[in-house]
Amino acid sequence: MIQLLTMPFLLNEAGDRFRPASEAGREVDLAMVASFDSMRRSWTFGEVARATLADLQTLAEECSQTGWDGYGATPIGPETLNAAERLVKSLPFDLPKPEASASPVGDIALEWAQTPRRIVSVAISGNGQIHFASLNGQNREFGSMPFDGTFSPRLAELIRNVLG
Amino acid sequence: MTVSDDERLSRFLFSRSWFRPDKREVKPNAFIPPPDGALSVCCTDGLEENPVWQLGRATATARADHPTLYGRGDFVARSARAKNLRVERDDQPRRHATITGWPSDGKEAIRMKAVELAAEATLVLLPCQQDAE
Repeated sequence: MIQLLTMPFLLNEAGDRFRPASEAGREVDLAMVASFDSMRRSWTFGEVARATLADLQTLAEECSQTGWDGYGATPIGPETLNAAERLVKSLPFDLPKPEASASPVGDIALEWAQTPRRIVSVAISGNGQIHFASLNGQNREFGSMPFDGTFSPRLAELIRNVLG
Repeated sequence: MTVSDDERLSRFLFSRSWFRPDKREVKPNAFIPPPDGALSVCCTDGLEENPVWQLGRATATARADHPTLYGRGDFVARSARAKNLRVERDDQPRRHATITGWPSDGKEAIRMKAVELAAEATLVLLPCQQDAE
């Protein structure tokens, strides 16, 4: 119920929201924004990040040795784990929990999949570079970008599209 | 030895993070090639289940750390070739093949092909793993 009531507020970009004209209205609006910011940091809305961060720790432990995949894979290093953790902490709150997996070249991938043909795979390297690939039926898109601490709106859009 | 388009290839899975047991799906990272660009697979076409798993176990025991075998991702050679990848059987060890020809212009292009290969692969869990899941 709480999510039902608050999600529209949380999801809307600041510019899309109703803007009160009066000073009193603006004060109420500011209080609401502060309240929702606090909610973003709360247990309920931080649960996705917390659970994913725990997955990352497990993954890093499982993949800490060279050859963890049976084929000579590069281990997941602390830089990669750190970059993946920062990426998780930047996820928009409306996105569901991603699945984490390790790649043989030492990257960590976060994935959102509806089906194998509707999936977004976002990998991050120890140097903070993101490489992504998205398949949505016949539509495919891939690219790379440096991670600057903010989750790319384009990636968020691709994820919402495959899950929608 | 030539691998025909219809031949079944198996990618043995030694990482729990490479498949979704509940959905019976293989994840893209299972198909990301190692730094040398040669993705190891086995030519398992025409083999019964037991010999296939024996190949998987042999792959595991050949490694110093004896990784746990969880399952395999099956696909046909045509799937790889349709993505401009090369399938070459070298029989080192027996029935071993490599998938090469991965893009050299960035990890994202490689990931795209891995996503597409995973979408066409079928997850087969090792029977004891199946029970565990």
